[in-house]
Amino acid sequence: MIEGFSHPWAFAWSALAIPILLTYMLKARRTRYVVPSIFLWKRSELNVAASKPWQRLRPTILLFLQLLALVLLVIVLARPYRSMEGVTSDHLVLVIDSSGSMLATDHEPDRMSAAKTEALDLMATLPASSLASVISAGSQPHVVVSSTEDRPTLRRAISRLEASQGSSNMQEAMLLAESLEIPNHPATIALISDGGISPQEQAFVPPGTIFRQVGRQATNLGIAGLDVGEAAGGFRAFVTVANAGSKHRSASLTLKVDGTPVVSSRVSVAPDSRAEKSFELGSRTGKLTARLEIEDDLVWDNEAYAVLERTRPRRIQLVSTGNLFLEKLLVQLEGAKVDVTAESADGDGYDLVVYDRVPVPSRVKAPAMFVAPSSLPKGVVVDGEIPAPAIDYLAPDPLLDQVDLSDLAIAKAMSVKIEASKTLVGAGGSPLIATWSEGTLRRVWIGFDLHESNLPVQVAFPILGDHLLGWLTGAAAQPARVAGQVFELPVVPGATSVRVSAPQGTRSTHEPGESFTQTDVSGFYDIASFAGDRVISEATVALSFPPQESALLPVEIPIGSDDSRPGLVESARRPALVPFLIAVLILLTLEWWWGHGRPLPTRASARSA
Amino acid sequence: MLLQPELLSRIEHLALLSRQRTRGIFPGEHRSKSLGTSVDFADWREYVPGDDFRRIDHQIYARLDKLLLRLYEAEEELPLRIIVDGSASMTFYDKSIFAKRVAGALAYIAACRRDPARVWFGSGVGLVPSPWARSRGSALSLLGWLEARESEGRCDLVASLKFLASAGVSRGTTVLISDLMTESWEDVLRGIGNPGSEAVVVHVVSSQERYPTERGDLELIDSESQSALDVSMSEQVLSRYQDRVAEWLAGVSQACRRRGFNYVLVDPSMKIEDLILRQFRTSGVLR
Repeated sequence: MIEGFSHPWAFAWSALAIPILLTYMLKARRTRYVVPSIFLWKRSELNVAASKPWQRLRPTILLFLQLLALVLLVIVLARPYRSMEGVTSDHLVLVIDSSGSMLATDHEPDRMSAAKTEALDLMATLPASSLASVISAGSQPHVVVSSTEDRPTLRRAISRLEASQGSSNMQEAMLLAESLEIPNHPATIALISDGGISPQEQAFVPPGTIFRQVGRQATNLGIAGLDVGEAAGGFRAFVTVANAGSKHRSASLTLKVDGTPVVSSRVSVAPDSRAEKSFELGSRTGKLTARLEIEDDLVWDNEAYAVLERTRPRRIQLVSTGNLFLEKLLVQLEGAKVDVTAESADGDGYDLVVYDRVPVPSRVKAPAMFVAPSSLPKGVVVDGEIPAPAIDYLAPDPLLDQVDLSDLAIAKAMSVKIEASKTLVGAGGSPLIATWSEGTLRRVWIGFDLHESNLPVQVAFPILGDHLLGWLTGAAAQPARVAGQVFELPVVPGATSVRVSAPQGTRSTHEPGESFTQTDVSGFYDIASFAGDRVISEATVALSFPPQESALLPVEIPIGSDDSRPGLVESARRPALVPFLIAVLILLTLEWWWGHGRPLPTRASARSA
Repeated sequence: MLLQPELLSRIEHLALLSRQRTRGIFPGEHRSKSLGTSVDFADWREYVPGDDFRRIDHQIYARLDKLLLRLYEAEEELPLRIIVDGSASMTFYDKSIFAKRVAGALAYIAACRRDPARVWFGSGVGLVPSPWARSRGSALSLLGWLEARESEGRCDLVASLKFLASAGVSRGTTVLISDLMTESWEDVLRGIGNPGSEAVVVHVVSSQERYPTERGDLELIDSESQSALDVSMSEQVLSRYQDRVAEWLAGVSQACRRRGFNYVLVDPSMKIEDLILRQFRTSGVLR
């Protein structure tokens, strides 16, 4: 238990036993008091003694307790310690993985608790004067406690950490950890995780980082993907079930729409492999939940969520003098009927109208896309032309997801100003591609002739077209979203506020278009746009458990060495004072009670004694 | 003055109570073992020549024609011997002055009844006898003598009583006034006289001695022997001491009762009037 003493010279205090013994052998200086006779006192057989300076040492309980207390006090002064692996640097930065995989129950009660214990153990080895910081490495890493010596605050912060259902952004977490370091004075960084981070993220783990792995062997069968497609006959669901364990597992998979079971099937998955199943769901829209009936180490990935909603326009009008690229793009839209005309039309009776290099009527009655129109639609003002525009702005918008415009080349573009629009792609201060709303109708602006650019031959063209056309019809196909992922709240014309009802029952009110970040829980987020007190639009966003977090098998992270960064020290001395201090306290209390607080014996007991 | 004149006038009508017949020298007021000239009829005996024919019972002679002599009980004096402990231990808590007052009062009472009284004062200088007091006047002189006595030193009561016994001073009543604070208190009681002797033990013990209030670690010094004893005056120690004192007092009382002595425990703080006029009378010392 005790491996040594930091201050062995303190054993010299053992000499205090001599004065203690002397106090029992030397009689106290007493007040002289003349009495008529002492013979009755002699007869009393009391605590009396002859008048000599010394007396025979009589072992008593009090003497024993005092000597024992002295021994323990001397041990405390000698500072006993245990040698153990620990941290001795001036600053310890604890990066604790709080991703969804940390909810696995292969540790009791979960991996997060084991990570907290590891963090507390590491912190306990830290010298008292050293600083410590705590970073929660979830989908949105943040500093929980920054550079403090206050151990109670640190312990409280660690104990309050909770794992989210999102994935971890380890790249940002590690950058955050390094940002806490004082320049030229590297801190000890300790990463406590189950290792479920991507190789790209592993590259951001600084060399010399201490890695404490949590997690044992895990058995997990989870839904790794739930995609919904819309066909002529209705919706079709594609479910991917992954087995992250080492044993063959099977389970019942049930799909429900708005809580009503629609289809159920048995899924059997080999170890460390996946199985895919597709289901016809019919044309009913609503909230789709896929559920696996199984007991394993992670319950949160046994359910996945998606929203069944129509995203495709049924009738489309293309007003153009001829554009093969646009025609092919529109025709490829599943279930859509495309009417091509060269005459000016206002889109009445259509789900969508596309104007390609033609004049735009003053009033357009359908959602519209304007591609280099010869006359400008309402709200657009042209102020020149941009020859060979170079893209200098790309908006971080879901409409540009998977859209690579790095090789886009344009001969010339219109320089315009569009009132209340959102620029998706810009060049020279003018939008090349922009979106806006006119009343309840949505508009898309493409400010260059497709024939005078290489966009139609880019891979990005069908993807961008699909996103834009979907957005125009008001219900863009929702990309598969996962918990922890930030999404933008809709901007509905006339909406003054947006209320979000989260799966855990909380409600919050936001500005339209605001980024919603409280997405740590998987499930359905109901979004209602308000104009004053009136609901003018409703939508639902489904967030599923991140599939990468289902891979529970603990993984060792390869971390390079860095001599300049203080790491673990094998012989860190951890004080072992507490048991001795408690024993001293108990002994001193006992000694006081025996000497002062013990009740006197009654006459009867004295006689019997 | 040892005793106030008012007290003396109040106690002069009292008398020593003797439970046994006395054997005095001079006639007195106490029934004697001898036949004498009192008014109490005792017996008849035949007349022999030489007898005082005035004591012939003429009524018997007329009835029985026999010469019988009427005999009467004798009344003799009751010698009173008072032994006062004058050791240093008696100087505490006014025990000595109290003892001298008690001795003076008893001697005065006796003298007023024509009983000879003498005080033996034992102190560090030895056992000193007072002059005999046979009258009120000589009793007042004895009071003056007593007042002049100083308690000091160590008094060996056992040796003193042995001396008195060897000197043949055993007639009458013996009164011992002492605190009996000696290891040999039982020998002292034995030295007073044989069981059945007419004796009174006035045991002077103060309340401070019975219930000490001192606290702390003390070195107790014996006032007579000057020997020392370390005592830690805790509640526990004082409780045990009081138990021992109670046992000692009970032991003295029982020893006196066994020997037929009259035992009176007094506290020097009490009024002398209460002791003489009340406690001594209820205890059968005085009448």
